[in-house]
Formats: sequence, C-alpha cells, structure tokens
Amino acid sequence: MAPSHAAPATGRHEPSSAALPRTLRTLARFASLQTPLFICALVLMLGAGYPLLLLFLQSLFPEILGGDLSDFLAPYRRIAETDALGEMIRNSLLWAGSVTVVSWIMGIPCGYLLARTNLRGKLWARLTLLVPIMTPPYIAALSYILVMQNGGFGDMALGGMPEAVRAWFFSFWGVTLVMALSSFGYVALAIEAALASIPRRLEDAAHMLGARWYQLGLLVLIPLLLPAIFNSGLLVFLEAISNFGVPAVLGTRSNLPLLPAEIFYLVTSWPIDLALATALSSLLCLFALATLYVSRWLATRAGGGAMKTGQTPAHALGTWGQGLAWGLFGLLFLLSSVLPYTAMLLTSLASGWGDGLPGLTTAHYQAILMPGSRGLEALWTSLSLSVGAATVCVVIGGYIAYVNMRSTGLLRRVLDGLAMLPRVIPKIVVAVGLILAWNAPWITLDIYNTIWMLLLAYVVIYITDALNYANTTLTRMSPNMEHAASILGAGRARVFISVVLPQLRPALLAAWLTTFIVCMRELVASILLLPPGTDTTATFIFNQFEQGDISVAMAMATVTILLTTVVLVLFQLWRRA
Amino acid sequence: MRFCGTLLWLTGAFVLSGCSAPEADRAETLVVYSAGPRPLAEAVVAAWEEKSGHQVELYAATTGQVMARLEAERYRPRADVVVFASALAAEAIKARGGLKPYRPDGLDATRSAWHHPEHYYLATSAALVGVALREDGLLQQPDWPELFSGDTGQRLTMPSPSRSGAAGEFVLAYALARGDGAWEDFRRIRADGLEFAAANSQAISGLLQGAYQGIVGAVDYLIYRQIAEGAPLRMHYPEGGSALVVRPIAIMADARAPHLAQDFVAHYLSPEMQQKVAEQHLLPAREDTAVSETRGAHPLPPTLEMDFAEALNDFRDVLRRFQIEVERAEVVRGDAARPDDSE
Repeated sequence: MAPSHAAPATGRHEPSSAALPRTLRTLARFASLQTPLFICALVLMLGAGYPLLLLFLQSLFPEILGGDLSDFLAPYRRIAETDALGEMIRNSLLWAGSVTVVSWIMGIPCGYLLARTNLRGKLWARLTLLVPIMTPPYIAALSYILVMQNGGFGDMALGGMPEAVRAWFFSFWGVTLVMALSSFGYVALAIEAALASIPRRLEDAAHMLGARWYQLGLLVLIPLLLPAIFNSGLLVFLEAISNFGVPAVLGTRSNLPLLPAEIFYLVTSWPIDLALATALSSLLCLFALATLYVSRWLATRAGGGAMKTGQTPAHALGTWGQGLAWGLFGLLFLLSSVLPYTAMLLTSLASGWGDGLPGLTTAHYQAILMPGSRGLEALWTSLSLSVGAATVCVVIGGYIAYVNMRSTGLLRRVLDGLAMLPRVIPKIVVAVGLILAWNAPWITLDIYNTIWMLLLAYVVIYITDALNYANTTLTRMSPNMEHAASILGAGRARVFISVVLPQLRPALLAAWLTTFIVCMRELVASILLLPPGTDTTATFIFNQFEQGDISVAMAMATVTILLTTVVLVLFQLWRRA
Repeated sequence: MRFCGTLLWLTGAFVLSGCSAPEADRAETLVVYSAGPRPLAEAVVAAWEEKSGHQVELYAATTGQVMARLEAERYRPRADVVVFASALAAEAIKARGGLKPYRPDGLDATRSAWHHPEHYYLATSAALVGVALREDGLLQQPDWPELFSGDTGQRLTMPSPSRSGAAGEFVLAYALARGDGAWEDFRRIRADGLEFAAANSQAISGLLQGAYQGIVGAVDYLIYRQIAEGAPLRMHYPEGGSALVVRPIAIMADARAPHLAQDFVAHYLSPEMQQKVAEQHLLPAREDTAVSETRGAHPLPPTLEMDFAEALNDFRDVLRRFQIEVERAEVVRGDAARPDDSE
C-alpha cells in the first residue's frame, strides 16, 4: 500500500518538473523526503492503529461490521446496568492498585539497600531481583496453586496447612501477593538507579541538622524519589491491570473476576459476547492511558530535577544490619522464586500422587520431548514464531526508530504516539482488536486463524521494545557519518544498511534477544489468536493445567525456562567473546 | 527508496501468491467446523475424504472456539458444515439466518425428536448430563432434591457452566424446569460446599483422586470413557430428569460447496459413522446402531424438556446469574460444615 502514496507525488515530480510551478515542486520534494516517514506511519497504522480504531468503533456500534449503526452504546449501557460488571471493573482497578502498593513496599527498601549501603554480595542480591522478573507470572501463579491447594506441597510440608491461610491465599490478597512478587523487582531496580543519580549531600545535610531516620525518609528521600516511584509504579500498575495469566489462573480459582480474564472468556467461551468484550476492552484501554497520563503529570509535578552525581560513600551496615538486609532479600527470593520453582520442578518430576512423597520420573519430559508429540510441536512453533517475530521486530523497529529520529514535524509526533500505543495498551485488547481487524468483510487475506496472525500480533505488540532499544542508541549517534555518506553519493537504502545498521547492531541484538524471550512466553495473544490444534509453549502449559496433566504442564514450563535461560547465557558469553 | 519499494513488492507478491493458491481449488474442498471430540471428527472426515475423493479442511475445537470463529466470520463466512456440541449453539446460528435446511434420505432411521422440526439442523448424536459418582461413595441413587438439599455431607463438584457447554446446558435446563426454586437449590448446594472445576476433565480427575465424591452436571460419555478404562466410577441419572445435550450437524446458508455439504451430512448419519459415534460412548442418532457396551442398552432415562428457540433467549442471562449468584458467591458454610470437610 505504501508506494501508492509516494508514487503520484514523485510521478508528478519527474516528467514535467520544469513546467510545474514552484509550489508543486516543493510539495513533491517534501513528499519524497517524507516517504520513509509515511511508510513507517502506515506500517504502524495498519498494525496497531487500525485494529484499535475498529475495536473502539465496534464497542460503540456493535453491528458496525454489518454496516448497521443501530444499538449505539448498547454494550456500555449493559455495563452500567449490570452491578456485577461494575464491581468487577472496580475490583480490577483496586487489585492493580494494591499490586502496585505491595510492590512498592517490597521494592523500595531493596532499592535503598542496593544503592546506599555496603550490603555484601550486591551482585547476588540483584540477581535475586532479576529471577522473578524473568519468570512469567502465569507460571508463578500455577506453581503457587500447587503449593497452596488442598493436598498441595504446603500440606505435605506442614502436615496440613491452616485453613485460614489457605482461605487468605485464595482471595484478593493472595492473588495480589503473587502478582506483586513477580513485579517488585522493577521497583527495586528503578529505585536503585534513581538513588544512584541523586547525590547524598541532601541526606547528609539533613542528618547533620539532626533529622531522625523517619524524617530523613519522609521529608528528603521520598520526595527526591517520587519520579522514580511513580514511574516504576506506573509500570507495575500497567502490567497488573493488563496481565492475563494471573487473573485467569489464580483469579478464577479465588473467585476474583478481573477484567482481562473476563474479556478472554467473553471472546472464547460460548455464549460469545463480542460486543461486551470490545466495550470492556475499550474501558481497559482507557484506564491504561489515563494511568499513563496521570502518572506522567504527577511525575513532572513532583520532578526532582537533574542533579550532578557525586561520589556516594556507602552507608555502613552493622552485622545486624547485614543480617536483616539479607533476611529481607532472602525472604523475598524464597517467596518469589524458590517456592514456585521448587513446586514446578517437583511436580514435573513426580510420578503418581499417593501417600507421602511421590517417586521421581522423567516420563513427563519424555512425553513432551518425544518426536511427534504435541509438546515438541508446541516448542517448535514457539521457537520459530519467536525467532520470526524478533527478527521482524528488530528490522522494522530499527528502521522506524531511525526514520523517526532523523525527521521532524507533525508526522513524527503521530508516529511517536502510535509506536507507544501497543506498549501501554493491554495485550488482550490488541489481540481482540486484531481479531476484528483481520476478519472484517473487506479483508480478503485469509490470515485470521493461521499462524501468521500470531506473528503479526507478536510484531505489533513487541515492536515498541525494539524501537526503544534502537532509540537509546540513536539519540547518542551523530548524523555526520550519514551526511558524509550521502554527500559521497550513497542512496537512502545504502546509508541505512552500510552506515546506520552497523552502529545500531549492539542495540538491535539486545532488542532481538528481549523480543525472543518475551515471545517465547507470551500467553494471551497466543491463546486468543492461535489456530486450533496448534499450541505454543505458553498455551500448552495453560491448556494442560486446565484440561490435562499438571505434571506435563510443569515439565513444559521447566523446559521453556531452561531454554530461554540457555539462550540468554549463550548470548552473554558470545557478546563477551 | 527503491530498495523499500522492491521489498514491498516482493512482500506483496509473496502474500498474494500464498493466498491465491487455496482459493483456486476451493470448489473441491469442504470446510468443516466441528466441536466435540477431535478423534471422532477426524475419523468421520477421513472416511468421507476416502469415499468422496474430496478434500476437507477441518477445524476441530471446543464449542467456544467454534462459536467464536463463526461469530468473527459473521460477515465473511467460510464454513460449509458445522457440527455443534449443543442444539442451543445451532439455534443461535439459525436465529440469525445462518443455516440452510436439509433433509437427507433415510432420516426415518434416526431419532426424529432430536432434529430441528424443519431440518435446519440434524442430531448426529447426544449425551446425557447427570451425576457421576464414585463406586465407593455413600450416595446411592440420589434424586435432585437430595443432592440439592444442602445436607449430603459429601464433597461435590460441578464443571463451571460458563466453561463447560454441557454443564451450562444442564444449569439452563434445570433453571427453566424449576423456575425460581432452582435458584434456591443452586445456592443451597453451593453453601454446602459445591466447588467448581475449570473444565470437565478437571472435575473428573478430582473425582478419580477422591477429592470429590460426585460431579453434578457430568456429561456421561466422558464418564463412560473412564469406566471403560477401569475407573471405579458410575453414571447416575436422577429420577427428576437429566439434561439431553444433542450434537447437531448443520449446513451453513452461505456454504460454497452445498452439494458436498449435503453429502457429508448424509455420511455422518450413515450406519458406519454412527458406529464410530457409539464407540465414543455417545448416544447415536440412529436407532438401529448399538450403543457402546460400557453404556449398555437401557431405555432413555427421564430428561428435562426444553424448547431451544425459547431457551436461547434466557441462556446468557441464566449463565451470568449463575456465575454471580452461585459460582462466585461468598461461601458461608453454615451447620453443613463438618470437621472432616475441611481436610
């Protein structure tokens, strides 16, 4: 589609350029200059803008795809009239808020300890924060169910868990805890980074003037850290409100209906209610965008301003202090990683559940890794999809970022906004939008219900990450080399391939790796868009847990996590070499 | 720019060539969507492909997935034949004018009461939704009043009606048959500790492991499959009536290969295919086809009657009400809670 925009302009330009008035020529020149920007905008519009627009329109006019504008706002009216739906929406917001607060409570002390004290073994401490970030939340939730359920590992270890604890876990707060455990690491790392860039002079001054520790914290540190607190909180809130795995796995167990899981059931289980699903999706989208703007506004209001970093001598911890600090890291690591991973491994290796401890077997691994088995097929599908999506993301994302960085004007701002969208908008909303978009009566490509649909979804959802990686490098890159190449007669494509790409390579490789890993564990878009009979590792785990063998599910979870870890380690080794 | 243009053209050409190929030989291909057991769908399709020499594009999935796909393709239909796992689902498509009636020869050999009166959809088979019990359980021949009394002292489960089509149809049939009394029953059994499983298989594995002593709203052919494999279970149909869930086949109004579609429908009702249906422990539509040995040839137990066209209007509301008032209700265990219940 892209050339059709560019062609008329350049066509007019070439044959009769002398005869044309100046203005037209300028216009044509402008168009040809802006062509890459147009192409990028079109790609993003087609990928993200069009499905989201269609989703929003359909939520307003449920029959719009049939060319019928009746029943305006009917789904929204139903939401307003059904008490349970209103409550579910309130619950979702409350839950995401609680996850954020709990993540702050867990993460801020960790960040402070890492940045301001002489904590021993900081590298390991940081690692304990990275492991839960790397663990897909749905696997953590599944493992927690194995620990806490009737006759689960908790019962085995304690010889019967108190019912009150179980009831507490399978409720609002248990679901909150699991989600917070998988996201507090972001907060801790963000706080550490922020503290590292804030000099200690203010704290020292306050200390010398006789401030107590709580005054220091409340009046000096927290205000200085507010931007970091808000930004990391925003990340956690957005992740929580749009997370599908934890609500679907644990929320349904705990009678806690949350928006993303509800949307999923409305789209996939009979009776289907696409109209209500699009309306709820639009609301979810609205909440996400509102959160983004409010927190940005708050962060600028609170803005600490840039400060010169100085040497920051570490605050010495005594033996007790070291012990307490490591106690905190240890406890969080135990809850966020050791417990779920142990449950996962044990379940994947257990043979039969009788009285006492089960025997060990590798049968579940054999079942998923046997040639021709569905498990192996799922692994293969995931691998090829992730490699494909990561490659496409990096190629298109890198190009878009480059074009964006080297352009100015209105289109660029539009492009900026469009590229941000998929990152902020919950993945389930993008997936529902894609279903509508690629099924519309005017689409003649049979892409829906093929594996290509998923590739498209991954690219749309994750291209922003690639963009961001490329952006960070591009902002530091001077255009002089490109100008030089251009003056020496290189065309646009040549400049991009021989001058820009080599400089972008490290950033793009990192982007490739990140995209590969997130695609390998992507659940919600896969489960909504995969053609039946096909599985990715994530949907395989989810389906086996719901309908089949939990041990096989956990074996697959172990294999996936091992595989991504191996890729990560190999990549690091290769980069160092 | 030239580089980009070439790239775009190449992509375009690739996409077009990729998509025009299946378009060309469409006339030879029958598109079948099927809910229900995948092996059965595959077996029936394979037999037809061999017999007719035509290709079938089969999409076997759950009722939810099939309905989602039909809903998504509403303005761009692709399917020729759909096998539903519920007459309500077929009725929903018929209600929006999506089905075309067809009356194959030899329909008299089948149970005519299960078909649509004007043959918009025809039953291929049926299953009954009743109660699955452990053989060593205390409940012997419980009727609904006993089960719903809130005083069974047994751990019971139900596949979530919003996730299992069969359980959903049972809840609807019971609610329509009993009126408001049904809702009191549901709330009472929930307060007695009825738990909800995400799907049939989860409920069944809970029953096999002894976590539960009974499944209310169990679809029988899955239970017979377990029994045939030696599981100590039995299927019980309460006197008050079980829900009859028929599995209809229908031809889409926009079928692009209508003759192949009709041939496929007749094929599904042939004695050979009905035999395959019976092997899944389903009730075959043909009266002259023997049911599976495990199921045993018994007369049909009493069923809860329901008019599908009317029931369709209530389906969504009943399910949502059930979800809110029963499934997600805070469980306040009253006197029914026993010390041995909580372990």
